[in-house]
Amino acid sequence: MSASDLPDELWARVLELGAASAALGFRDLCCLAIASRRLRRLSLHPALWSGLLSRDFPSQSQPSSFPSSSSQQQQPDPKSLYRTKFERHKLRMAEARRRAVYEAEGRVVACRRRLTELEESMCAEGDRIKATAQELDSLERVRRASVALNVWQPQVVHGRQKQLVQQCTVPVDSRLSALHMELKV
Amino acid sequence: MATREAGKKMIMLKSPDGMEFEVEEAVAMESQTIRKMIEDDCADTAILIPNINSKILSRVIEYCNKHVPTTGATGAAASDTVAPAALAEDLKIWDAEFIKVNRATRFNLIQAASYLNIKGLLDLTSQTTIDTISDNSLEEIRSFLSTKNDYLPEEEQTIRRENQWAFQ
Repeated sequence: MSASDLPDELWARVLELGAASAALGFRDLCCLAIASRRLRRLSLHPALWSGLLSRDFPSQSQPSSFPSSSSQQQQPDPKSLYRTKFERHKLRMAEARRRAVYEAEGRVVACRRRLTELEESMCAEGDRIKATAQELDSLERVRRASVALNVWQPQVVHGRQKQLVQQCTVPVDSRLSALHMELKV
Repeated sequence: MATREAGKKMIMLKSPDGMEFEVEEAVAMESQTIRKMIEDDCADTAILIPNINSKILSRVIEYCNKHVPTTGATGAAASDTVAPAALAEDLKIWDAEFIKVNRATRFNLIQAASYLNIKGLLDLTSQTTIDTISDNSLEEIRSFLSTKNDYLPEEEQTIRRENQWAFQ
């Protein structure tokens, strides 16, 4: 005995059990549909797809199950309904993923910008450090120079004064002799 | 059930190939079909089980024998002595071992379980079948179900296109 000898209603029950226990998914049912005519017929059973619908899209199944009893003819069959929802869901997931990627990219750009800013301010800070070091250096030189000045200045001043006095005395003498010469004349 | 005080009442089951199986009534009553026959008093001699050969019938009886204490009429008394969880675990292991049969036997078991209306066995065999279908490739499913591809080439193209959405 093989699978093909099993009557339809038993197959239907097997598939129903599979769908109910979540062991059979839409992909398995589609795979069955491609396998052969009979399996396709069996896999198209509305109850199977309705079960999948309410399992995989529980939030959206309430509004769709409500009109299905009242307006059967305009309601698409559960498989195509499932397909529509599945594709919509996939689209939404892809969109969400894309959005997440965008957001992450935005964060990366912001981080990169911040990094550049930081690098720039680091450069500026480095320049300032250099300038300050230079300033410090020249201040140190000034200090050293002023110390030297303090040490040597008294002597310098002394010599200068002496020189100044010497310079001053010469004109007095010469002025005196000039006066003497004037008197003689 | 009036048979309880009579101790173990035996029931004779006959397969179409002439074999006879004597089983306890409680075991036989695992099958809702046989239970109905017994309750309707149609089972005073032997019950002929059509369509189920002796090989399959003996396996079915084996299953019922194992499962009678937990789900049968005497279940309450028997499961008092053993912890129910351990018993259920034990049964699960036993079931897994029991269902390791070839494909043909399994499909026969499905049919027998369905005819005899033994829910546990039907669930077990169905579930095992489902497990082999789910997450398998098309070719594996075809070979497992020994199904021939009876589509015309262009027809198959159409069907494949129709179902393409599930595989993207």
